[in-house]
Amino acid sequence: MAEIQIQNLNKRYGGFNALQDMSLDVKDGEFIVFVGPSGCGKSTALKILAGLEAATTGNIIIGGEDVTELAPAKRDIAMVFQNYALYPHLTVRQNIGFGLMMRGADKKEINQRVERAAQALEISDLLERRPKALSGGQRQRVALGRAIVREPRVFLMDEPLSNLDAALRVQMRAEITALQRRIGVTTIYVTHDQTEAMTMADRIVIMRKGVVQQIGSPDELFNRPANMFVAGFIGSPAMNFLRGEVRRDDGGLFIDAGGLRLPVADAAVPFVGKMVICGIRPESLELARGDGSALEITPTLVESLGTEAYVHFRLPEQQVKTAVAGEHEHPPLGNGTLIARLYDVGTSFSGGTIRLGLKPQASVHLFDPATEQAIR
Amino acid sequence: MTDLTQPRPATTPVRRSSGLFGIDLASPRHAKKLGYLLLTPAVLLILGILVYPMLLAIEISFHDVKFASLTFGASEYTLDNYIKLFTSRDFWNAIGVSARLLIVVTTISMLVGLGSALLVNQQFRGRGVARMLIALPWAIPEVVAVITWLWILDSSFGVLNWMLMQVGLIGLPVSWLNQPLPAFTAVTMVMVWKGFPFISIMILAGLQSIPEEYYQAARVDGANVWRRFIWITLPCLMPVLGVSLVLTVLWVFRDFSIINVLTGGGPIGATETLAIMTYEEAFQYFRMGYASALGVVTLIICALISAFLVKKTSHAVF
Amino acid sequence: MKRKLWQSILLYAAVIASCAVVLFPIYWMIVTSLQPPGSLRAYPPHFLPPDPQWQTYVNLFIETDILRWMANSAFVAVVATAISMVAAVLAGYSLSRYQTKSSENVGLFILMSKMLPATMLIIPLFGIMRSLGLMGSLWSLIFAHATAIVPFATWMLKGYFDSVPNELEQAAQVDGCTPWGALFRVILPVAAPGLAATSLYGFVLSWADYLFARTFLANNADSWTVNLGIATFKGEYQTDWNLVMAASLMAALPIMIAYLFLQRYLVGGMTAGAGK
Repeated sequence: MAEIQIQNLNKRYGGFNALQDMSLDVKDGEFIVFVGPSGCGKSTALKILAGLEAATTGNIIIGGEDVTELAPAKRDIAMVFQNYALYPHLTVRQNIGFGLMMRGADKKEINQRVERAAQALEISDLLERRPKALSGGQRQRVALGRAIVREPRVFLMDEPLSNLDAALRVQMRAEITALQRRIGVTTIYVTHDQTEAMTMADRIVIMRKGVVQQIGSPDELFNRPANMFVAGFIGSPAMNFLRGEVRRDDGGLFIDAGGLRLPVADAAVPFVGKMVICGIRPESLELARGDGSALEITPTLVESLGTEAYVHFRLPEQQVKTAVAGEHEHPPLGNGTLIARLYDVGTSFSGGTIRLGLKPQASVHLFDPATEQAIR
Repeated sequence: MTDLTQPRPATTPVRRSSGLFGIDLASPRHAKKLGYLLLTPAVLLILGILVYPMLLAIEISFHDVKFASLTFGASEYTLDNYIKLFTSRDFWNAIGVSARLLIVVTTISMLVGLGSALLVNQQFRGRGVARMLIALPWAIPEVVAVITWLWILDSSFGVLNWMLMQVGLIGLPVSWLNQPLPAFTAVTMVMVWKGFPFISIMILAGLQSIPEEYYQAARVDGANVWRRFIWITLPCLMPVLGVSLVLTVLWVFRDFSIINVLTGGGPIGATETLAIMTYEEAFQYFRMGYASALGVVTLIICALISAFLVKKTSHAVF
Repeated sequence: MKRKLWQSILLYAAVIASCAVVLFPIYWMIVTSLQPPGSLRAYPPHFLPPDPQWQTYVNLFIETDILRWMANSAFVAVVATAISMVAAVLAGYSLSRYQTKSSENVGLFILMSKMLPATMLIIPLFGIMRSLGLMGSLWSLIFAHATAIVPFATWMLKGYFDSVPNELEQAAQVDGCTPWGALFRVILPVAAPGLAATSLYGFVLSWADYLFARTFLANNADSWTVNLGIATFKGEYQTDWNLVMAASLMAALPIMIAYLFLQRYLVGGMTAGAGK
C-alpha cells in the first residue's frame, strides 16, 4: 500500500517561507501533479518527500509509515530528475541496475529485471552504451528505467520533460501517463507547465509562493477555480478578467461588463451594487448574434491559426491587470490585451468594430476584488 | 504488460541501522552535522600544524630564548627582540633586499608569463607540446634548479659566461656568486625561470576563457591587434593577473630554498632576504626568540601585502 | 584569420626560441651528466657530448645514497599526498555541498593559510617535532607536508565538485546510497580528473620541499630526502659536476614524468577554484 499523507508541511529558510502549511492525502496509485510558477514551492515539497531536504515542521507518511526523519535510501521511492542525473561513468545497464545492486540483489535477478524494464521502454539496444552517447529522449527513458526497475512504492518526478524539445515532450507525456497507468504506482509529478498538469494528472495541486491554492481534478480546476490565480494559470490562452457591477432588474441578477449583460447566480447577491471581477475564458466568447447585449470592440491584433483565430482587444476601463504566470511569475503587463478565441470566422477583419457575446452554455466566474477568491 | 508488477521478489529489505551514536547522519535532518563532520580531518591538520605553531611563534617572539619552548608564559615577557629587530642594520638590509627582489622578480616574471601565455595561446601545430614544455620549470624542484644553475653560472667553466662572451656582452667572465650585484642578478634569473610558468599557466587559462565574440565584435568595430589587447584582453585578464600577482609576490617574499642553496644570503648580505635572515638566526645562531620576532614581522608583512593586493583586485579573488 | 607566411614564420620562430631558452637548463643538466669528467672544463664547452658516459649513472647509484634518498622522498610524497587528499576531499566536498553560505569565509581562511611564512612556522614546529620525538623521522615531514597541501587542495577540489551537478548524488541516495556512499561510488569516479590534478599538485609540493627536510632531518642521513642529499653535493662533490648533474636529473625525473602525464588536468584544476 502506498498512500501518502502530507501533514502540515512547512519549510523556512531563515525568514523566507518556501512552503506554508501544505497538507495533502494521496490515494494508492494516484497521479498527482504539483504545478505552479518557479518559486512556488513545488520542487521544495518534492525534495522533502524524497528526503533530500528536511522539513521545518510537518510529517510525511508513506504507506502508513512516518518517513519524515528517514534518509532517502530508506524510503523505498524512486525519482526522475530534470537533468536525468544518469551516472556518467556507468553503462546504461549499470545505471538502471544501480539501485538493485545497492540493495543486495543477485546478479542474475538484476539482469532479468533490467532487461524487462529496458524492453518496456524500448531501450534494449542501448544497454551497453554510456549516457554521453545518448540523445535527450533516450536519457529520459534510461532515467525512467532506473526508476521503474526497483518497483518502489512511490515515483517522484521533477520536471522530467522540461529539457526535451516540444515535439518529443508531447510524445513522452503520453508515454509516461500510459506507463503509470500500467504499473499503478503512486506518482507525484512536478511541473510548471499547466498543459502537462491538465493532461496527465488525476488530481492537481496548484501552488503559488509556497501556498497551496487549490487541490482538485483537472476538471474542477478548469471549471471551478478557487481564486483568480488558479483561474488565470489554468487554460491557454489565459482567462479574461473584466470589472463589472452587480445589478438587479426584472430579468434577475446580472452584471454589466462593458455593455455585455452576463447572467449570474444567487451567490452574487451580497455584491449587488458593488464591483466584482468576472472571468471569461477566450473560448467562451463568440460573435454576437442578433441585437442582444454585446461587447463592442476594436481588434488590435488577430492571430489566425487556420480553423481558429485569437482576436486581441482592449477595454481600458473594464479589464483587470493580472500577473502573467507561466514558468515564472511576471508583474502585470501595462499593455495587456483580452483575447477572444473565435472559430470558423473565415475572412479576416477589416479593422472595424465587431460585437462579441457569451456562448450559451459558457460559465462566468466571479471573484471578489478584495480577496481574489471565487464567489460561490 | 502486467509483468512489470509481479509480486515483489525476495530482495533483502533496505538496511536500517541506528547510525552514529543513534544519529542517522544520512537523514535529511542531520545533513548539517554531516557537513561539519566532513570538515574535521582538514581542520584538525590545519589547527595542529598551522594555527598552533603560529600562536607559538608569536609567543616565543616575546621571550628571550635560545630554543623554542612549547609552553606559554614559561619565562618573563619582553619586547627586547622587537627592539633589537627595528634597530638592527641587518634587519633593514634584509627588508631592502626583500623589497628589491620582490619588485624585480615579480615584474619580470609577470611580463615573461604574460608573453609566453600569449604566445602559446596562438593556433599552431604542436601547440599542446609547446604549452607543456614552457611550463616544465614549475615541476623541477627548486634545489635541482639551483644546482643546475650553479653549474651554468660557474665563473670558470659555466656555459653562461661563455655564451655572454661569445655574444660580446661581457669581456671577462663574471664571478656570479662572489659579488653583490651579480649574485642578486643570479638569484633573480633563477627565480624568474622557476616562477614564470605558474603565471603563464594561469594567464593561459584566463585567455582561453575570454569569449571569442568580444574579439569578433571588436574587429567589426575596426580595432587593431594592439587596441584589442588593451581594451579586451587586459581587462578580462585582470582577475587572473591579480591572483597571479599576489601569489608570486608572496612566493618571492617567503622563499628560502633558492637563495639558501644558491648564495646562502651572501655575499655580504646582498641576497639576504628576511626569510634567509630568520632561518639563520634560528638555526645557525640559535637565537630563536629573536628569530621568531623576525618571523612574526614576516607574517605581518605578508598579511599586509595580501590585504593590499587583494583589495586592489578584490572583485577577482574569489 | 588567415595568417601571412611571414607571420607564421615569426610565430614558429618565437615559439621555438622561447622553448629553447626555457628548457636550456634542463638540456644542459642532461648533457653535463653524460660528459666525461675531463671535458667538463673544455673551452669552448661541448654542446653535444661526443662520448656519452652512461657509466656516470651507474657510479651514481653505487657510490651515493641517491636511491635511498629518492625512496625517502617518494615515501613522504605518497603518504603525505594520501593523507592530505583524504582531508581535502572531505573538506572540499563539504564546502561544495554543505557550506554554501560560509564558503567565502572559508575561502578567505584558506587564502590566509597560504600566506603563512614557512620560515616563521618552522621555529615552533622544530620544537614540537623534538618534543614528539619525531626529529629525524620521515613522519615529521609527512605531517608537515600534508598540512601544507590541504588548503590549496581543498580549494581545487571544491572547484571540481562544484562542477558536478547536485542531482547526481541525490539520485544515488534515492537509489539506496548513504551520502558518503554516494560520494565514493558516484562523485569521486566522476571527479577523477580533479583528483588526479590535485594529487599531482600535492606530490610536486611534497617532493620539492627543502626547508622542512633540512630542518627536521639534517642529523639523520638515513632519512634524507633527495633535495637534501643533492644540496650537500654542492659542498662535497664540487668538482664532479657530471655526477652532480646526474643526481639532479634523478631528483627531478619522477616529478617531470608525473607532470608530463597529468599536466593536462592541472590547468583545469588550478583555475577551478578561481585558480588559487
